[in-house]
Amino acid sequence: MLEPRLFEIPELLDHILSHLELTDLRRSALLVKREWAEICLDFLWYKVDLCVLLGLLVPISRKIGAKKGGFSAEPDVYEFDETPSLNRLKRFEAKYAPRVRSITLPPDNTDIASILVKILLMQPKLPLLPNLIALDWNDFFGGHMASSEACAGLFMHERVQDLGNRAFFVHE
Amino acid sequence: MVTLVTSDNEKFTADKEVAERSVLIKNMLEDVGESDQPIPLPNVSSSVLKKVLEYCEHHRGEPLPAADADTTQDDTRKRTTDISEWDQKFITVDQEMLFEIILAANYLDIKSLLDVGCKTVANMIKGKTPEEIRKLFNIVNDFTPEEEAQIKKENEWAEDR
Repeated sequence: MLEPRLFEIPELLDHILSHLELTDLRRSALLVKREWAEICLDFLWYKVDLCVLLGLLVPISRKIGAKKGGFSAEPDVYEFDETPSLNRLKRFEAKYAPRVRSITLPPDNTDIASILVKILLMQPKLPLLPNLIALDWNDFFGGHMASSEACAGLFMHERVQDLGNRAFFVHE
Repeated sequence: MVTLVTSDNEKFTADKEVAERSVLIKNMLEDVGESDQPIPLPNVSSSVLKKVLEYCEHHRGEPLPAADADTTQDDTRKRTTDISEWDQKFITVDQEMLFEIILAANYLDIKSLLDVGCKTVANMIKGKTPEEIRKLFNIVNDFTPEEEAQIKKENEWAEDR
């Protein structure tokens, strides 16, 4: 018995897989065959948490900030467990970065500066996410973007149009 | 009335209103104008067209869905796999017929029927392992073991969303 012709038509396979939840995409459809994986990856990485995305380069650890009187006195710090290799960066740029359209950020009181600096030092292709259209802004991340042109250059480009309800300012 | 001719040369007559649930047929009729000329459908067999016309007849008069009705601005996934009771009964056919109906709906451009067919296949996939899906649809795994392991590892996070 031959493989059904239906699955050889990418638009139809896309239509079928578009009805699956993320869990079924990841657990099942993603691993059926290469063509299926390409479509599943588009769905799985369309909207993603920034730390999850950057965790593709190297696992990320989170250090909980000190608390005073039940409130956070210091931010939680996210750091790469090690410096990402160039091969990982190349795979990230080729396979995952172009699929991302929308990123969500960790909570306001979170420091991801160390991660962003390490990525910048690797001289990635900029912007890092060339097809990004929406960025779920927060104050802490905004502070980084505003104070560092290089950091802003990682993510900002003309197609990024949706910044939630926040305005975006870069200091001259 | 409209006359439709299938790939196996069988002629079907249908009300114009029913046949025009197919955007392809609607456009063809507009192109030929007022004419009794039969419409050839070389990609649809008689057994499949019979089912397609049954669907169109049942949904006669319902508003046609917009071309982009299911897509939202920030996500192209449709998520829902709900199918109405009548459609569910209608689409309970063997796998070969199901796939032929989907191909015909795609060719004839009948969006609602295409949705019903694709949702049915999605429901068949749900909850199955990759190997079970391959077996069900006779699909050959073309991943190397290394590729499969890598892509699985890189996508483990999806569990948490």
